Amino acid sequence: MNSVATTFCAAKPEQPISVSEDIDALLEELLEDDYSNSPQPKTEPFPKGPKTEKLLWSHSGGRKCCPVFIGGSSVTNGVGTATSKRSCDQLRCTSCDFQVLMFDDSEWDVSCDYLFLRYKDLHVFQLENPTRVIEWTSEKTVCVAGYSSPRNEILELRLPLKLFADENKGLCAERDFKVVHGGFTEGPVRHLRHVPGSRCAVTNDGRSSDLQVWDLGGDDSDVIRRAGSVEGRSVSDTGSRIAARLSAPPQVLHGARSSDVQLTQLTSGQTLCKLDTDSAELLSSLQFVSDSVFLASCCNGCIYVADTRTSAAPQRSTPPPRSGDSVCWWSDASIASQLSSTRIVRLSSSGDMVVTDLRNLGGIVSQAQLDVQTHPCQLEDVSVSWSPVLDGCIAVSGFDGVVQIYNTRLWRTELQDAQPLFQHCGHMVLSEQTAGSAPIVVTSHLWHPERPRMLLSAASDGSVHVWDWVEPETTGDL
Amino acid sequence: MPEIKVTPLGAGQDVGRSCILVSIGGKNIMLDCGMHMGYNDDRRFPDFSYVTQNGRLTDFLDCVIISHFHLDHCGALPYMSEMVGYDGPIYMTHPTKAICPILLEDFRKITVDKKGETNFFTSQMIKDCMKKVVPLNLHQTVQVDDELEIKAYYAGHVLGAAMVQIKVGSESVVYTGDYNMTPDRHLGAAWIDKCRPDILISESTYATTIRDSKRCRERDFLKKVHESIERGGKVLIPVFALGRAQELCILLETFWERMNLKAPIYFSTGLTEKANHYYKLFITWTNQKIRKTFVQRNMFEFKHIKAFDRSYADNPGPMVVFATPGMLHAGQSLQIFKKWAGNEKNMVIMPGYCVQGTIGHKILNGQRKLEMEGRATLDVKLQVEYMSFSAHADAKGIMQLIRMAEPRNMLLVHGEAAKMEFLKGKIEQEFSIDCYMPANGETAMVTTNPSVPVDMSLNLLKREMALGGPLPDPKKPRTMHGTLIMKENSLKLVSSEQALKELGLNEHQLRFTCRVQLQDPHSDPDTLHRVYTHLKSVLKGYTIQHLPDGTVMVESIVIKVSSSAEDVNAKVLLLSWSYQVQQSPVIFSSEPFNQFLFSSSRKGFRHTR
Repeated sequence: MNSVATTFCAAKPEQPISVSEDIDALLEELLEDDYSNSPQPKTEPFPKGPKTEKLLWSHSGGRKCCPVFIGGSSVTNGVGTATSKRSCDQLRCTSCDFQVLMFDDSEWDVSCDYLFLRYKDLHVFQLENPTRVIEWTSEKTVCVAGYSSPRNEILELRLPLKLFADENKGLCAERDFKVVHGGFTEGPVRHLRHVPGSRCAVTNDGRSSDLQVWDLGGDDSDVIRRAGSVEGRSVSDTGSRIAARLSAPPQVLHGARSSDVQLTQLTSGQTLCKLDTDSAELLSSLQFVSDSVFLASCCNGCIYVADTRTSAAPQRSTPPPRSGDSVCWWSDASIASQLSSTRIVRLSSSGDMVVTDLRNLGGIVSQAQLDVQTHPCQLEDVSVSWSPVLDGCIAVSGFDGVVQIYNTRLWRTELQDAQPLFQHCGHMVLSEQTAGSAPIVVTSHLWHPERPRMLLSAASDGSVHVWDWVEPETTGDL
Repeated sequence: MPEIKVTPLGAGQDVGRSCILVSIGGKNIMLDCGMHMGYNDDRRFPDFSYVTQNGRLTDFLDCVIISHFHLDHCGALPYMSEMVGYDGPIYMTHPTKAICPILLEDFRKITVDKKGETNFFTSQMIKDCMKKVVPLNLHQTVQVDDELEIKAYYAGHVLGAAMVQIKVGSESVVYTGDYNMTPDRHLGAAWIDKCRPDILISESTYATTIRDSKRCRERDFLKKVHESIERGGKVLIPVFALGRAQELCILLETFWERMNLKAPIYFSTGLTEKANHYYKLFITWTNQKIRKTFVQRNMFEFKHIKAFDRSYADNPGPMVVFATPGMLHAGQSLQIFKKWAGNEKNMVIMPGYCVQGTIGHKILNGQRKLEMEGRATLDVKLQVEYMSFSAHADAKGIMQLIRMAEPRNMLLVHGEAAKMEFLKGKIEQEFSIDCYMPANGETAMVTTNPSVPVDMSLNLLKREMALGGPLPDPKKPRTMHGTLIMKENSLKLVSSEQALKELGLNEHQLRFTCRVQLQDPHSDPDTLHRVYTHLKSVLKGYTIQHLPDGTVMVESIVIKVSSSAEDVNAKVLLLSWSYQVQQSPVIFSSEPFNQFLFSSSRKGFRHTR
């Protein structure tokens, strides 16, 4: 739970900041009743005091925190300065101006979704089977697919129209996913890429380096059909990573190890180019950063930068410092108009995050130690991605049941602890799984390409959330 | 082969005016009789001429079953029974029977009195039609006639909604009507036992939808209402008298209680109030929680929600009003809307679908200036919100129901066919059953394999056992011989002797004869004797007798010799054997034996020559 959240929680019992909490508490209560069959509500209703009472607060004479620190009740409260780091005890709500109250040693239990108040939109869906992949196939549709072993479904879903209604949002009642196309796969789907500019998707089952090609179907049919396959170069137990770029006829870049990365034309099966390297490092991702330049990121932290136009040897970066044998790295490159401003982020399984420049992969732009659980996790689950709109923002998921958003612009070149800008805990909070079953892990997340704070996330219980969060007001102007 | 035929007259690959004909075991049943809310012309009602072109409805149909009271499932009922003409029984559940005529009358008023349409059913017709209704209880098997029986199951969706099982002999069909597989605040989830029908006819309104959680949906609703109340606005919620209105009432009532809100909530008079009485009356049809707490507190006995009076609309301060009708096309909801539309602090929440041409439809399309009667225009300044609360089964729910009922075939109605090919594939693959989606007027035919019970006489059974060794292996088919007698709807298998005796018939014997011509100079008895000695030498191990009456018997085959009048040397060998199915070894009646006999006889002569 981050500090902002902690302060918000503490404010709740005495003076409602927003009605949202009460609605949720009510729904929660009704929900509990439905399942526990107990006629008495488990939680006490809110104190019903007169709502007009308003504590007047005057800035004059009072000292201001500079910089402002916020934290839980475990931190000393008071006026914070650069030398004495105290958590501010005079916070006020930015929307109603009520004072924020704090209670020592208390925290919300997980069933209380106080987080609701920080969303502009939140839609919660339950798929029949969990998915590890979410991929845009058009402005309003995404592709998801199951990963259980024998048979799975691959679905193209249209996002709720309400999310896209800018004017007269209230007039749009459509808040459901629509299955626009669907098909069946013979094996699990671990990786999925949509080939831009086509109705074609490429998947990999995570057990071999072969790819399956799918025709997503047009307006006349709602069926996704198998359209072919591409044979991979190596037998690998982790499966191929896939990257695609806008090209006609469609091409995909794929490979399981750095030694077998190749660009293949889907229609002819012809190999257009190969990554020229001798080492056979396990890949964590493949990504195009421009029309012709691509990155092959390896699990050991090193990155190859290659150009499909030349046959010159790729540029290889060394792994970031602090890499051990047991550490695994994931990476992502930001989408920038110019190649020179492309930033690369690398995240390790121990929570180290390193941001570098594409031109200087050895040098560190900024770095931080993330607030993530670093228990051994599956390679496939973790995912790190730059926001396509918010400059310097990164979403991280897969370590546990939350999706975290970090702002890398606040970081410096020295290592420091980083607190997330925002956490989406909804998968854990709203899960209907009973206690004792495996903990919920977020399996995938995806930024909306244009809407700055809209993300989709999927978890191991089959839930898919679409959320548009409200950035907590920076408290710096207090 | 016997077959079940399903023909949608409405709702085939379409939503609205549900009406499905089922022919099963010689019985014809009409499932639902709805109207399409979007049309004013012929397309409003199902096309009954499909039946009436060949005669009267009453002669054709054995019964009509109505699944629930929504007008797209029962709206054409008075038209069908009173104007087209049907006098047979109409089955519906008790709540549906109680509520259906209110809705029909309400709709008639709007169509005839407000819109001025003629050629529509009258109040009297609704009353006459309701006289033909036979009420159903849940899980009660109703015998329509000696062979046809129906049984209702709980369907959720709205008060009194039912799924029906139709059974003739061992053949059965289940029709779901509209149903909901997730319980809500006032109704439970649909349930059916593992009845393994030949066809499951299911609605598929939300078959391609993955629904947003109910919680997010309700949260948005409460937030909207509360925001408006907080800023002193008035909230109008136009509703259909029954259905989702009660769900929203419970939600708001609980919220008001919880938040200690003081703004009044009103029900529009008449319809909705009356409907709430019905909910109290039919408490057993609501969900478990409401039933359990009923003794202490009736959930429909609202503390904060009071009856509305026309004068209240002008009261100052915030308020929430539930008013009918739901599409703002007439009545109280329209009156209130006109009063409140000018204030941007106010809000109207449309909780359901609106038909084209209604004010509800116009404002949902963003129209901000409305033309009223008398050339007056109305500026719509209030906030318009559209929220859908309908309760249908989604793809997951449909799959769940299939798993529950285990049908042999699946038939989808009440949805678009073009968009359901994937679902069809999914059902066919997951359950290995066929899935049909007939269009209106198209017939889906399913061949059934009903078991036919046959009684068998003990004597015959004993004889078969004696012949064929121990008891037959139940997994392997076995041939047995007997006579099947059909008598007064029963079948029995007896031995042929007993059949002859029972039916008083004479026994006939069938003999096969064959003539073989030979050239032999000996006399007839000599030739016969030569044949006898020859056969004796060739057919070792068989009984061969030379009888004194001038015949040779090989087992049961008789051989005689005669000569022709013209040529004494030309001898004719007459072979004769009776038709025997059992007991005699096959070789004696088979062709190879005769061939053998024939050729060996000839060979014998050649030999002696």
